[in-house]
Amino acid sequence: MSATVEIVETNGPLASAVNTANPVNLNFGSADVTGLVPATYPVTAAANGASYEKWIRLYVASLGTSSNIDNLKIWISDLGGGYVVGEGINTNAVTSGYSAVSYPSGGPIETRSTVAINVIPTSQPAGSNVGIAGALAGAITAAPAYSDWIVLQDICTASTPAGPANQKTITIQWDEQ
Amino acid sequence: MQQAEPEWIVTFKDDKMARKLEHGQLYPNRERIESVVVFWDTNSYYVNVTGKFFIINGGRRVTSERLSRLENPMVLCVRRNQIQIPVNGSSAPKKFALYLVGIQGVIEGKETQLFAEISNGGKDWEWKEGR
Repeated sequence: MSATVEIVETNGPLASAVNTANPVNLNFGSADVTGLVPATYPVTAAANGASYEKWIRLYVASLGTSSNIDNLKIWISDLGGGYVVGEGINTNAVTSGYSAVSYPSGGPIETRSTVAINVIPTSQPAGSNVGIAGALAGAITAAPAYSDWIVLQDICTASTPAGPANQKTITIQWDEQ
Repeated sequence: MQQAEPEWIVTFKDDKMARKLEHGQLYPNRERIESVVVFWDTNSYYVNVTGKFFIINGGRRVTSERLSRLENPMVLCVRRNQIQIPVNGSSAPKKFALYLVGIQGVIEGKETQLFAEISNGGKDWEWKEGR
């Protein structure tokens, strides 16, 4: 039996944070909610514009017959119609110089993130770019357990045109042994 | 009378067509994997599972020179999982899993992994170095 693993999105201030298992999407917007409709919560085009951050983790509810979960990666596997002018998606994921981040006491922010500062890769990274227990080489060997935080943010500029952005697909990958 | 095929056999011919694929059964039995033997002359890769075996043929050759330097070889069996989540869209998330069998060892002091990655129901596979 394979491990039981979920993606969990966390919203709200730390003291009253709400976890949502298996979010239906990672749509970015002007509200700190899961599964939002972008047209309802549009991001305003502005210099250094940004959506609310998305804070997600891998949650291992059960290891099943596995003994080890590691090699966690995130990347954009399908850019769809591509970025519109001035748009981008940033993350804290990196393949070197990694350090884990803590969920902010005030919750996700709508200004430019201080932790999601790297451009998310658009192809599978060669090595892990998300840590477990603070290290890219980390592993989950007992459940329940979480990975480190993955922080994502959609950014825009004053020149970003009005209207919906193109759908993209983010892939999160992990290995079970 | 035609001889029955051994249970657990997986054959990838050069046309990449799988005669029979049971890789999903390999993973739950990974603790029973006893050994790996690589034959460079036929470019085959054998994983012995308590007297039964898997065979993967064809595809990219793993050089004998590289494999002969592999110290402390160890069999690895990995279930690779993916969740694809839409961003700024309405598509539903999708989950995938594929299986990798491979060997890991030390070459000149460096931990090295060679994997045969099996996907698309066994129709596609390729050697990969590292994970």
